[in-house]
Formats: sequence, C-alpha cells, structure tokens
Amino acid sequence: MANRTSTAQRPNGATQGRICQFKLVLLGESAVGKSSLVLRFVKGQFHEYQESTIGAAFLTQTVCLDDTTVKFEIWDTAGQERYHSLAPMYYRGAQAAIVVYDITNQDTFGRAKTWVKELQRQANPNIVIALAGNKQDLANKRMVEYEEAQAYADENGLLFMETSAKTAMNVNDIFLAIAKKLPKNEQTTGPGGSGQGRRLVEGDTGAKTAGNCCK
Amino acid sequence: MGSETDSIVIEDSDDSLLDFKELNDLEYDIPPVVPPSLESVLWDMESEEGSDSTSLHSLHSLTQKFRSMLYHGILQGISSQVVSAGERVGAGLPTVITNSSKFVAVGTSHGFVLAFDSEQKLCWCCHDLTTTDQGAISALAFNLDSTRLLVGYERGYISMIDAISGDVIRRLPDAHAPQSAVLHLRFTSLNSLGLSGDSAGCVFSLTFNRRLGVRTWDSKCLFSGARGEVCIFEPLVQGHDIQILGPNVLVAMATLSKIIVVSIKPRLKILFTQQLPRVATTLPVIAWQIVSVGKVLQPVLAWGRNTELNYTRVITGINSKLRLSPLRTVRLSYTLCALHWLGPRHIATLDTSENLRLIEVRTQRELELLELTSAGLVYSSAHFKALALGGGVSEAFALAGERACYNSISSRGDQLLVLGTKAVHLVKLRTWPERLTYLSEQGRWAEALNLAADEGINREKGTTMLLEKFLLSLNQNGVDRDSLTAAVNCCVKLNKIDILCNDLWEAISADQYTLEWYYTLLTDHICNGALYFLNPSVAQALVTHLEHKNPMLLENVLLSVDLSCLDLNQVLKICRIKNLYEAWIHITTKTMGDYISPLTEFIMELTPDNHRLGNTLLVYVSACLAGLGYPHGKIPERDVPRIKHDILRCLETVHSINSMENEQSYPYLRALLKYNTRECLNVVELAFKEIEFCGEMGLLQRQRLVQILLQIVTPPEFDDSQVIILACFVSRLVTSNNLNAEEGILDTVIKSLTDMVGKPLSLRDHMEREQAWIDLLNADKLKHLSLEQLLKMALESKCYKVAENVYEKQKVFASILDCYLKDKVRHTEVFGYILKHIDDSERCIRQQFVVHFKTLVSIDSKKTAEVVIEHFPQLAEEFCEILESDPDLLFKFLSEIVYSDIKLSPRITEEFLRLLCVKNPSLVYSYVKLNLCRVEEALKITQQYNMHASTAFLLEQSGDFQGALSLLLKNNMTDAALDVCIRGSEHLDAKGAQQVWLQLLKHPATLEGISMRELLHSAAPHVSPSQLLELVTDASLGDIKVLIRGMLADCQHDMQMLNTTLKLVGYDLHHGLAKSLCLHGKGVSVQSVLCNLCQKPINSVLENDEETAAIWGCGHSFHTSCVSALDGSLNCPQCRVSATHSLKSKPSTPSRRERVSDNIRLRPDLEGHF
Repeated sequence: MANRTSTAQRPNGATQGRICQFKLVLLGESAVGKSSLVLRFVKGQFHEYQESTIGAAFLTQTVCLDDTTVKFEIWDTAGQERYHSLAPMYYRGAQAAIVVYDITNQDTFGRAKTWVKELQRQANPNIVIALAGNKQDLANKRMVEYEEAQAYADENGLLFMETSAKTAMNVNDIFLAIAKKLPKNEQTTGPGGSGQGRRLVEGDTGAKTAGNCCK
Repeated sequence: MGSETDSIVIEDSDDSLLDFKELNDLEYDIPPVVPPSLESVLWDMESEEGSDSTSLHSLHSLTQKFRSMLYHGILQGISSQVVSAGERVGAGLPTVITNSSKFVAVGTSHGFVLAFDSEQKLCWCCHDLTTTDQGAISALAFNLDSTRLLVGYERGYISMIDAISGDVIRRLPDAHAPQSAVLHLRFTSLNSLGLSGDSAGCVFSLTFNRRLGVRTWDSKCLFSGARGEVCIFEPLVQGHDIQILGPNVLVAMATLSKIIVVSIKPRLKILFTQQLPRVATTLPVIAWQIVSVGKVLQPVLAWGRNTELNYTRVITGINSKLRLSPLRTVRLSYTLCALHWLGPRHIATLDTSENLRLIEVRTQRELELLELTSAGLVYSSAHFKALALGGGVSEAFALAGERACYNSISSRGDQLLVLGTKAVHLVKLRTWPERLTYLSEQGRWAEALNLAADEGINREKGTTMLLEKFLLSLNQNGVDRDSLTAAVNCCVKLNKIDILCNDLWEAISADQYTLEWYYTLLTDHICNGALYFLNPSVAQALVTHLEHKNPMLLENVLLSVDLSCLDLNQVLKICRIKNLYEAWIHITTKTMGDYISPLTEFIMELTPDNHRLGNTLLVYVSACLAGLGYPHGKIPERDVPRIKHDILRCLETVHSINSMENEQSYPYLRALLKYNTRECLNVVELAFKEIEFCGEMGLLQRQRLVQILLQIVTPPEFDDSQVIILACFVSRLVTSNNLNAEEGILDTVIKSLTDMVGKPLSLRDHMEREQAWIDLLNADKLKHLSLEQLLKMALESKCYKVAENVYEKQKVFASILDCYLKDKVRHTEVFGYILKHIDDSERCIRQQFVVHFKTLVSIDSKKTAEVVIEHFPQLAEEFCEILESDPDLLFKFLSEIVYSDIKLSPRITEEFLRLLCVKNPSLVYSYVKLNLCRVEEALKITQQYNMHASTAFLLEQSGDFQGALSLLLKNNMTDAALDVCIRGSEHLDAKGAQQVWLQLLKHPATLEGISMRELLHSAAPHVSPSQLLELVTDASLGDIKVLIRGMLADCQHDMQMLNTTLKLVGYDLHHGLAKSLCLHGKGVSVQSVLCNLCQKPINSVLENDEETAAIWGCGHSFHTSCVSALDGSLNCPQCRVSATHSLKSKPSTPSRRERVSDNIRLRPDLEGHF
C-alpha cells in the first residue's frame, strides 16, 4: 500500500509504479504443508502444528520484481477430500497455481499429478503451474526422488522446486519464480472477470492521455 | 457555401482549443448531436478566462454556491469592445443582441452594429451614414446560414448587411407602416424570407430576390395591427438537415390577447389560436424548440403570459397536414418576463425580478435559480413606446411593453446571451461531464459522485475519471463521510468493484474511523442486495470487522454475498465460534454440496433449550427433504434426489462415524426428536408428502421410518407426552391409510395411547391422544380389542371422550352424560349434549338431568336454569327440593330462575328472599319490590334480617305509612322517609298526611340530608303554615332566613305570574277590540233594497225614523221589525250565515256582519290600556 501511495504522488511514474495483481491457488493433498508454505511466504512464520484449513483461506502478499510490484492474492485451499469440490471455484480464475506434495509420501505426489492434470484440463489455459515438493527438511525420510519429480515437471512444463516451510528453503524463491514467469505486459483481464489479474496504471490520470487514446 | 465555412471554422476552433482544460476527453463521451457552435467555443474560452479572473470567480462563488447546472459568466471580449465602441466612436449604449451559430451581433443606441466571431474578435462594425437619422438599432436578425443580418431602426428603417463583410446590401426604408419602430426582425428557415414586426403591431413578410444581379425586396402585410397588435412573433426555424414540416413555414405570433400560430408558406393559413391571460402590464412570451418525442422529432411551442406557461406541440398528420395540440399548462409562482429553451429538455424563464430559473420541461421541476440583477439587463421599452417617433402607440401596447426584453436576450442551443448595459453575459447549461468537472474542481465530491451515480450508467469513462480524481484527492486531502458514502454508492451502482475494493479501500484504510464507516456502507449495500461481489481482501477485513461488532449482521452479510470471495477457512471458523448456524449451513451446502455435515456437525450441541439451533436444524431438514435450499433459494434440480436421499439416510443412520461406545442408536433423529418431538414429527409428516414417500416403495420407506421412530421414542428416555405425540402421529398415518396397520406397530401405538399416564398430560396432548384413539376406533383399527376392554381402558386413563364414543357404539346412552360430567375439560359441553338430545326419549335425558341436577347446577347454574326454564318449568319446585340441602347451589339456581316467567310457589320465593338477605342484601330491596312474596311472610323475614328499607316498603304496602316512617327515621334513612311521606300524602287523608309530615319534620335527623327549603316545599301543601312556622321557630336563624327567602321568592314569583296573566288578558282584549273595529270599518254591499222577508223596499218603511234595517255579511237585508218578529237567532234568516247581530239606527250606515278578514288593523299604542 505504501508503494501505491508513493507512486500516486509521483507525476511521471508511469513505468515505475506498475502494480500487477495475480490470483494464485495452492492445491495438494491434505497435510502436505500448503498452509505452512503460505504462512512462511506471507508472514515468515512456521507452526509445527498447523491446524487444518477449512474450505479455503485467503491471504495476500506483495513482492517487488525489478520495476514491477506483484501483488499475490493467494487462495490456500483445504486438502481434505470433502473440500475437493471447492477447488474449481478458486483455480478457474487463477493466473498461477502451486501444486504441493510431501516428499516423504508417495501418495501425495500421485495426488499432485492428478491436480496438475485437472488444472491443465479445466483451468485458465495460460495458468502458470508450479510443483513444490515440500518438507525438504525431512529429506532423510524421502519417498519421492527429486529427479522423478523434476522429470515430471519438465515433461509438463511446470516450475519445480523442493521447498521447506520449516526452514524457509526455496519458499520465497518459488513465489518469485512464478511472479517472473507471469505475463505482466499483456492485459490478462477478461471483460468483467472478477478477481482476475489486473494491471493498474498509476500516476497518469491526466486528461491528455485518455483524450489521445480516444482520438 | 455556408455550411462549408461553418465546418471549417469549427474545426479550427476545436483544434486551437483542445489544449484548454475544459475541453478534455469528457466531451467525447457524449455523442455530438449538433456540430459545435459558436457558443461552445465561447463557453470554452470563457471558462478559461473565468478560472483566471478573480472577479468572475467571486461571481461564481456568489451565484453558484449550491448549484451546478447553470454556468454564468461574462463574455469579456465582447463586453469590452462594446464599451470601448461607446466611448471611442460614440456608438452609444448597447440596445440589441442577437447571435447565430457563428456570430454575435450587438446593436447600439447610435445606430452602430458590431459583429463578433466565435473568438469574441470584432469582425466588423457597421455604421451606415445614410441611416444616421434613424436612431437606435431596435432589432437584429441573422439568417440560418449566418450570411445575412437584418438591422431594424427605431425610426422604422430596415437594412440588410452581409454578415461576412459588414456591407449594407439592401435598404428597406419603407417596408412597413410608416411612423412605427421596428420591434422584431426574424429570418425564417429560408434565406429569402424574413419577417418584421413594428410598434403598430403589424407583421410584414419580407421577400428577398436577386434578379439579373440586382437585389430586390418586397414586403407584404401578414397581420395588421388593427386587428390586434402583435407583441412578438417567432418563426419556427429548422436546420437544413431537419425536415419535419416539409415546405411549411410556421410562425407563432402573440398579440395582446391571443396566441396565433400560422403557416405562411406554401399558403397562409391559421393553424391555432388560443386566448392569453389578460394582464395589461406583461407581455406574452413564446419560444420554439424541436424536441424528440420517442424517435420522432416534434416542434414544441412554449408560450405564456404573466404566471401561465403552456406547451403546445405540432403534429404532422396524414397528408402532412399540420395540427397543434396542447401538451400542458403550468401555473408559475412568478411573473414571466422572458422564456427561452436551453436545449430540448430544459427551459429558462426570467421573471420580473430578473431571476433566471432553469426548469426541467418533463417534470416542470425548478432546478436552479440564477439572479441576473447584477447584469443590468437592457429593456427595449422605449422602442415599444416608439418614443423616437413621438409615441403614437396604443396605450395598451405601451403599458405592456414596459418590460420588453425580447431583443436583449438571445438564445441558441443550450446557451443564452444576456445583454446588460455594461457587459454581455453568457448563461449556459452544463452538460453532465461539465458538471462533474465543475463539482470535482470545487471539491464538492459528494455532489459530483451522486450525480455520477445517478446518470453514470452509460457514461463509463466520465465516471471512472471522476472516481480516479476523487481517489487522488483522497490521498491528498483525506475524506469526509458524505463523499465516501457517495463514492461507495457510486461504485456499487455502477459496479466498479475494482475501484471500490482496491483503490478506495487502500486510500482510506489508514484511518480507523473512516474505515468503520466504509464497512458500514458496504454492509448496507450487501444487505440491500446491491453489492454481491467483493474483493477477497475486503471481504476478509469486513468479516473480521463484523465478527467483533455484530455477529448477527455478519450472518446477514454472509448469506447475501458471493461465496467465492470469502475466506472460507476464516468464515467457517467464525461461524462455528459465534454459532452462526444459518451462515454455516448456507456456505457448506452451497460451496461443497455437503448437505449432511450440518446435521453431523451440530447434532451434539443440540440441547432441548438451544432453540436457535434446534429450529434451524428442523427447518433445514424439512427444506432439504422438500428439495428446497436453506435458508433460501433452491437446490439445483439434479441434486435434489441425491440430497433428499442423503438427508434421509443420515437421519436413519444407526451410528455416527466417530461414534463413542455408549452412543445410542439413530443419534441424529434421536437428537431432533429429543429437542422437540412434535415439531420433528411435523417435519416427517411434511416430508411424507414428497414424491419419495409415495407409491409402493414410498410406503416401505414410511414404514421403515415409523419403525425407527417407534424404536427411538421409548420411555424412560422420552416422557409420556412425547410417546403419546408419536402415537398420535402414527395413528394419524394409520387412519389416513398412509401406513399399513401392522400388528406390531398398532400394538405399540395403542399401548402408548391407552397406558395409564403417571404424569398428567398437557391439555393439548390429552386431546390429541383422545382424538387419535377415537380416530383409530372409528377407522376400525382396534378390532382385536372388545368394546368392553376399550371402555375399561378409556375410563382408567380418563379418556372420557373415548368412553363416550364407546358408549355410543354400545348404545349405552345412560352413561354418556356421566362422561361429560367427569371430564373436567368438557363438562361445560354437557349442556350442548343435553339440548341436542333432549327430545330423544331413548337417551332418557330427563331422568339423567334430574339425577345429575346438583352437579349440573354446580357446573353452570345459569345454563342449568336456562334448561329448566325452557324444558322443565313444571319441575322447578322439585329441583328446588333437591337442592334444599345445599343453600349455595339453591341460591345460585334460584337467582337465575326467580326472575324468569316461571310461576313459583311463595314458599320458594320466600326461601329465596331469606337466602338473598343472607348472601346479597343489596339486592333484597329490588327483589321485594317485585312483589313475589306474601307480604306478611316477607315482612317477617326482612324484619328478622334487619332489612329496613325492604321492611319499610312492605309496611307501606300494607298501608302502615306511620310504621314505615318511624322505622326509616329510626334508622336515619331520611331520603327514603321523605319518599314515604310524599307517597303517603297521596294515599292518606289530610290529617294523616299532616301527621306523617310533622313526624318527619320533627325528626332531628331529617334536616341533615335534605335542604330545609325542599322539605318545606314538599310539606307545605299538607301542613298548615302556622304549624310549619311553629316548627321553624325552634330552628336556627339561618334556617329561618332560608325559609323566609323561599317564601319571598315564592311571593315574587306569584306576583310576576299575576302580572303576566294580566298582560295576556289585556292583550287579548285589545286584540278583540281591534278585530271588531276592523269589522265595523268595512262596507257591505246589499243585494237588493227589498227586505228579504217582507219583500217590501226597505226605504219605504224608513220614512218612519224609528224603523231600522238589519244587514248581514252575506248581503241580505231585512227590516229590524221583520227579523225580530222571527226569533232571537243571530243567523241570517235567509241563508243561515252566522254573524254577530248588530243593529244600526241608520240604514245609510249599514251594519257589518262579515267573517273576520285578514287585514285587521291593530293599534299597538292602545295595547295595555284596557
């Protein structure tokens, strides 16, 4: 917010004050660490006993990338089976998705794959998908090999990192990687698309510009 | 040619002005209806100048503090040039102004015409030397193409000027009546046809031709002032591109008395006339405007005078025949001075106090008021009076022209040029974007935003711009409540969720107070249903805000907002903590399609006193089973069967998923039943009407559910009443054949119905139980039980209604009455039963009535008495005997029966009197008065109970006034004693009466209650005055005074009476005399001079002086001697007309016997002298 205020007051900050807003959704089996990942990214915290999410939780975080401010609207969905029917509500309008699995649990990786498939089939075709193998700190109990996941990611054109919410490893990196990959110049907003990514141009509200574009 | 230059000029000006602040892209939002005109250019320049010049700014702030529709400014360029022309070349003061789409022309008092272009530059100045003797310019008119200008002078000269060069190209020295000033000049839509009006009230058409290079003209009188002087005329000018009227040229004219619309081409024809209000001091005003009505363009004429304003439209009929039809008439609260359209939707009026009002034509609402007093408006009254020509104008015309300003206000499009003595003013209607800009520049955000919200739906761009500007100002200046309210309203109305939830929210989120107000606004909009979608961040913050502030409101918000913008993790947790059951159910069912979890989630919290949850769940289950959404809306059609099935299955679940070991079976249904058995069963009953429970399968379903219900609802967990409610429910199903009456089910039901109940049931439960039992009985579902058994059970469980039914079936009528009497609830209904069957000998009502008489009386003595009076009057005595032992009942019964018509033996009536004396002494006296008892016996009783009033009455009855009086006096009942005396004096002889009165008067207590005077008055006729005085002497002085005063008053009254009587008698006497005088003053004509008896002439006998004649009113005359010879009767001997006989000695003065005529002359002065 502070960012915006400063840009608003700058008269010719058209290039500097660009803010992109993106909707990002986290998917994955329950207890793989989606909420922990987000909590680490947004608040820098980690709770050993994170209570399970109901439905979906909403958080926002802003990251600065070169000259652009990227604002993430993060929907942290619940992993429990009963909430799966909710997921389309969130991933449909999303520009980015992080599919999380637990490297100590092979089943969660399988589940992650089905999520990826579902996203590819039903979500926005331009969606940026990242695969996160969480709980890297428990690498000694690893059940999913890094290479296996990397190969799968390459095959499907996914961003891939092994992360650890506990040690904060790769957490910010994966979000930043997504931010970089997101198309920031083209207008992603469909007409009336609620909550979709918007590009806000600040600092140039003068009549001249608008007038010219109308001419 | 004209149109080409037009467009060029406009493009030039447009480009040159594009950089100006006012001509921003807001302009582009409105589709240009007309090509930009001079005014738009002027306006843009002016606003530019206005923002620079401080003086103009102050003018703004003065006049436009609260309004934004009208722009008012001074055309500085034109004004200064006019002033300098007056100063430098002696042009004089400005007198006339006119404008076309390209030029503004101002005429001056010394015959100068100054023309200005769109940039207020002086194009040319014309001062025709040949017309210097013509005086001031009095009229100006451009043609439609702005190529020609007609100039009229106050001495009658007209000339035509080329508007481009300023050269005079035609001179019309004698185009109209001589010795009259030119008052109006107008071009019609045709360049070759003009009109002129003069101070003689005539209208001329001016035709211009060019033959062989020579410009010629011709004038023709259209309307002569001799038939009514035309004050103003206005041709309907339509642009070249608009052809509504075809070849017709319409002119509206207003004389001093009428409005006339004529078509002057192709033929002169009058289309419309109407009277104008006659107000000598005001001029009529008229104005044309082409208005689009739907898709059709129609010319509308606004016209009026004084305080009346009319609208009339021109309709093109079949064969392009024109017709005018009135639209509406409006009464104004002020006097009209000028009238001009400002665009097709608004009209501007100027009143006599120089207030310009903007009126919306459709609603006739006054939008704004602008004071033009400061402008110093130029009036052309001098021209109307033709002062330059030495007058010669009719008085009416000169008087009306006092406030003529036809030529000093000129309008075009939505602008008005006002010619003041010092400056030219511009009044303009602001367009919507201009108003937004204006308001926002002034920082009146609330007004601007409200305006945007009102009309901004189709003007996306302007609104967005405005909102962005507002946000900028917010960041700089902070925000007040009103503008925030307006901004939120605007965003919501125009669906600018982005701005509402991102920019606006962020801009205000620093200030807690503002933020709270923002949330309040959002909540309002959400609850009104105006706002459905929110940004998730805002929704999250709003939920957090409301969670602490008002959880109930939060529930409302959650129920009406789009669920995809909610942070479910947060919201569902809050709902759980704050027990927002409805919101929780709504969200879970809608988002996850999970209809079971509401039951499983909350069922453990359901206690019988948690009504909110209990009712919510019951309604929820009911809604789901009916296939309806909860709390509102519908379940998608294809999900309905699944959901119904889910819910039912959940209810029928034997054990929950995470069941504890000690969990009872069917936890969900059990919990609901425990919460409220009756309502839960109602839910089930409603559900049984659904399609799932119909047919063969449905029957099985029902059967199964009922089995489960019967399994659950068993003592001791459920109390008797709950068991009975279930039994009733099942029996309803069985009797309505909605359930197979299986032996097992039935047994259970009957057992619970018939079992003895430990705890007394509520009335409702008991009645339902009886009803269920009876229904089963009547439906023959209880065949395996004999009637005797049933009867026994019914009596044991005190179900007397059931017993009654059994008795009916057994035809044991004798016991039915018993059933009623035993049933505490229904025993009052027994009378209904008795009356219904009273004639049914089979039921032996009479005998039973006698047997149960005592009970019946104790139930309702009144109704019993009614039955006795109606049906058993002869048994009354017997009944009394029955009740002998119970005086209370007897008294109750008798008090009903005694006053009826039944003849009762004196023994009973006396018995009642005795009871009355004991139970209700106040009624004894009135009862005694009824004379129902034997006097001696009654006397004994009343004396026994010391009922003095009654005793006295009875004594009086037996003639013992003395005794009654002494009794009353002994008990100080003086009022009653007085009554006794009064009654007694009527019955007793004089001596007795006197004795009674004296006894009363002598009693010391008498005077306490009754006034002395009243007493003496009553006593006077019966007691001699001497005795009275004797009584009085030992009274105190005060009493005597009263007595004497009373006597004096009596005396005075008597004297007055005497006087009045004398007066009346005197009046009568006087009246009689007057009547008789009148009678004697009239003559009587005699039919013949013969005596009707002796047939001899009366005269002949009259030689003798002693002889007299008698004449009656009927005209018969006789000799007195003849009449007296007949008899003493006073009637006419001939026709028997009765009359007072009167004899006169002289026949020449015949007496008069006529009936009283009406003209009795009274002599009031004599009145009273007799």
